[in-house]
Amino acid sequence: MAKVNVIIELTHSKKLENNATAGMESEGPVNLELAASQRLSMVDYDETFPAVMLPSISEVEFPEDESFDSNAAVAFDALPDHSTYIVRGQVEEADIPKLEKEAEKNNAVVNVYADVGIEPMLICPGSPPMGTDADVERLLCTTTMRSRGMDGSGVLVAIVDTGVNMAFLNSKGKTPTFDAARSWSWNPAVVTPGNAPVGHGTMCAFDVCIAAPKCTLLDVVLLRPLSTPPGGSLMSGLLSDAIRAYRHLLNVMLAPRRPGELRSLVVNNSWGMFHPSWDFPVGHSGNYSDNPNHPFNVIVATLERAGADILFAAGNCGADCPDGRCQGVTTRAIYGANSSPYVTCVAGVDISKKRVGYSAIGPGRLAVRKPDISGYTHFKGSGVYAADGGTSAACPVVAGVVAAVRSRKPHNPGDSSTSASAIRSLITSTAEDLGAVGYDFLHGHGVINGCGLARKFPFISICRRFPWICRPPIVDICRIRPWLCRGEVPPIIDFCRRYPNLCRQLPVPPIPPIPPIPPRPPINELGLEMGYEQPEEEYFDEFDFEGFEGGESTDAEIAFLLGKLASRQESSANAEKRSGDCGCGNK
Amino acid sequence: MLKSEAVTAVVETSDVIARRGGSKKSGPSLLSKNRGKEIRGMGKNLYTIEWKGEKPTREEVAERFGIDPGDLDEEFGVIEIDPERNLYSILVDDAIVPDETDDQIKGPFSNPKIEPFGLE
Repeated sequence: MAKVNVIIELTHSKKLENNATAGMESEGPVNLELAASQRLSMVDYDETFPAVMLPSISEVEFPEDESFDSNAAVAFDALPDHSTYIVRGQVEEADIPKLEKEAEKNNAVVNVYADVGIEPMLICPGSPPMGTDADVERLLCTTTMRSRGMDGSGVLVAIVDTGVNMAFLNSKGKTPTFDAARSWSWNPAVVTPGNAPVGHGTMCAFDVCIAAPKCTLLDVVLLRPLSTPPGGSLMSGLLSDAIRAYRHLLNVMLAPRRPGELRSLVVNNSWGMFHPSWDFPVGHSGNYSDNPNHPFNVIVATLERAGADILFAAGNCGADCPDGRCQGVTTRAIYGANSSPYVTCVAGVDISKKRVGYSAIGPGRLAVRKPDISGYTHFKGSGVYAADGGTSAACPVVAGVVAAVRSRKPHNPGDSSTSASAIRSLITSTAEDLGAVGYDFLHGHGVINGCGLARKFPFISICRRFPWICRPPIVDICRIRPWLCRGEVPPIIDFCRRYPNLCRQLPVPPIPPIPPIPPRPPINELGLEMGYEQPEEEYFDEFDFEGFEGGESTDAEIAFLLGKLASRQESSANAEKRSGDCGCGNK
Repeated sequence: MLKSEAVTAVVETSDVIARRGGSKKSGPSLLSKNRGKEIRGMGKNLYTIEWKGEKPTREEVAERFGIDPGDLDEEFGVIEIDPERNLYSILVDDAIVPDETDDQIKGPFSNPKIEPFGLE
């Protein structure tokens, strides 16, 4: 039998007054205190909800000849003994008639009301932004992610969209690397990658940089104005353009690599089809939305097999407030590649983790369990629009997190734990569940959880990874060379104290290349190097060890010194060898 | 299909079909007309072809499937979409339909409009 929530309004009693006062003033939890005479037998009271005082209201009479403000037609009386008090509980639906009769008989009860469920208003197209990109950063724990090396470094992120304007992006404080050579445009003569008009693609790039500020952006300019401005600015394209763009990305992914080079590519797609009428009918062999054999769905699968992480927005045809282009079609509205089993399909939630009303709802057409995950959207971010909105913004927010993960888990063709499907499993398994318990068609597995992902990638500690390096090596010199000690305490060499830079947490700064050994001078007829002069002081005297002994030298300096020592020792050995060869010595 | 047959078909594309008023041809010719328009009027349709060996040129594909090279979209060209299955994609004028009986070519596939998921 279903239970319904009820509010019970009670007359004043000292016990209720004290309970209500404690509930208002206490910082901790206060339980309900209710006399037995005030309780209704059929109500299961919420004992964690203390009484709440309601001031009494009385009407105020005004002289007939005076105009009055209707807002002032009532007067509040906040005296406790003139007030009533509300408590809440649950009752069996079938018992409501009996409850009403019991309440009528009980003088302590003023009335019983329904306690209906309330929800915050849904975000819809046209709603003002909720929060900012700083809120999204906080929700994603980007500070923690960055401290663990999860910042998009070394990861290619392709923004397949209307084009990116890098100058605008930089002016907004986002300074990712831009790879012009691996970018692409439907017509480079019309739109130069990285220099596109500020628009949808630039918004997507900004939102990727929330979690992956150090990624390398590829601008893949796919969508173009339907008509030349000022006639129109709505961007559009054909799926055949997308096939060309994806072939380019496949070339990027399959290009030869240097030995040991790892290449990660995240592909953001905040676009798709809005209505079935744009496609061949379902059931037709050439249909796109439901057909895995469509050439675009085939090349998407191929690119994923090559190791790319492909993300598609779920679309804006959510049932609560769909985009006008959906023409009212909101069921099974995740079409084609957006619902491919080989991609991560992203729904949208606002920063209060409530689904935005326009976010498309599953099931998907190619794979049933779509969307996979939710991302934050409809916040004030790039400044391109009033709000970075639509599932268009949710998708790059998640793409940025995937890029951040790839900084620590780059794609390695020989390691299945780094495959695109493995990364998809990682981000869905760590997602924060929303809505119904477990997977649901509104939110997927839940909202992307940067904090949870960061916990999966702890700090890199040289000492934890290679403990033998940091273990203080106790060299018992006195046992090996007893004449050196004679009563002295054997020295303990603490590697980490002496070379603290080597034991500091990663990332270790890159070590510049060791300066090349100068070319050997020509040898004269006597077998001696021409111009060779024996240095006045051999070995280490010329080196400045200041700072080195104190453990203040950088890794680069240590490497440089070691390089110089090696080259000096080699020169010395060669000189000895030469003197031995000619039998003349070096006197 | 022999090369001579393909040439015949190409000749028929430009002349015979026009004279027949777009009626679907029977016999060895690999071309028919109008099926694409019956489905939609999108201008061009996608096809997938299976091609073993080196990546084919537009002209080789046209010859193999009995299409006038001019009916293949020049900008799109011949795009490899699945190297493991030797699958390529081509974009063909929707008035031209390659032979349905050749199991190495599949289509037509739709080439729908796509738009960004920004809010209107």
